[in-house]
Amino acid sequence: MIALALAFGLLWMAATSTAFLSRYRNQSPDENIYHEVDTFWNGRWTTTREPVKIASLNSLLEGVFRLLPLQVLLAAVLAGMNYLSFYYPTRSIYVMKRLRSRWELHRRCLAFPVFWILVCVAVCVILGSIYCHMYFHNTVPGRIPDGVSLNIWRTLAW
Amino acid sequence: MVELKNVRKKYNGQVDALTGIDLSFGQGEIIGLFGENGAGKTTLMKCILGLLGYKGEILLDGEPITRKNIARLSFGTCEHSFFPKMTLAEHAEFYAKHFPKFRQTRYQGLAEFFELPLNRPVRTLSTGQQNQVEVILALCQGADYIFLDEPFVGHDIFNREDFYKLLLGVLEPTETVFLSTHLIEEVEGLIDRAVMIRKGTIIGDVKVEEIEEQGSTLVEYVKQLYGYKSDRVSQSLAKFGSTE
Repeated sequence: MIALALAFGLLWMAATSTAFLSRYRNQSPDENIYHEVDTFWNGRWTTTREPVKIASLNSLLEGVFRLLPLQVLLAAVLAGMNYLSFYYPTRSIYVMKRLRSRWELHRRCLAFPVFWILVCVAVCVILGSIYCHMYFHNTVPGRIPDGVSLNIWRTLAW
Repeated sequence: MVELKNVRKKYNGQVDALTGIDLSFGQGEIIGLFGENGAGKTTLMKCILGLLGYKGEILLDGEPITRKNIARLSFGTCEHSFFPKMTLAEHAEFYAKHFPKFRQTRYQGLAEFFELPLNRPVRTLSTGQQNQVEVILALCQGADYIFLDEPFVGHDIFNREDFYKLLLGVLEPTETVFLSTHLIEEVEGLIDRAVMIRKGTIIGDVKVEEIEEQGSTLVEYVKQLYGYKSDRVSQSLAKFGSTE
């Protein structure tokens, strides 16, 4: 059941991350959109055209990977259940304690949960890299806000 | 040789499970450990196997029992320590991988003797079959000292008798069996030595041969040791009769 929940969670995480795509598309980043700005200079008003800046990278990526902590929690629960399986319904822990390698028990309990967390993090890194690449390379020059930065923790925000 | 020196165990810092146990046993002995429920039999075995913390000293050939030498001890328990989702064949693979002295031939022979299916998960077997699997795993690990805690629970009388004969036949001269059971009469012909434990203390440690030389039986010896009054039932029944 936990394994199914993990797989479903990974698919859901990938799906919700596409929220970036719809937000980004709404900004029409590949179109030259200008707005007129009136400025008073040298005693007279002049009108200039400036490109409309799209939303910051942080705001577009906000919360797209918010299911990652849930995946980590589910993996931790799976690890706990793995350890518990050596105590119930039988006490196979008695056998594990007679093995020469003290790490065999931990390897059996933690290998998959750790692997799963790494997979989820890798998916987030790959998708995040793709989204950042799109942001910087698909957006019309001049429409990217000044001083753009990335706050990774905002991608996990609810 | 396994040596226990002043081994003490308390549960929750209050309940004395073992009080100053001094015991030693060498290779090739078959030892019966007897005692009433709660006497400390299982606790004693678990302390030797390092499954419970204790005070005092337990040595195996002069060395503390650690992961380096723990494989020389095996344990079959009525709590069951097999892997329920694994088949017998998978158990054999696991044991062969982790216990270099795993006895493959003995394992296959015992599984065949008890007519146990090799390719079904052990959790799908009956309780009696699961008990047989537990004992087989303990006997085939390749240990020098085999600890069996109430191994005959769930075995019918025919299986038990066959098992006693089998045990005497398969064991090598250097293998030691430390066996706790309530079936004193049945194992009398099997064991070399009887150790009696009561309220965490060893109250008797005798060779079966010595009891027989005195013209007594193990059951009589244990009754005498426990101060068992054979007329207590008739006395109680007489009291019930008189009050009604």
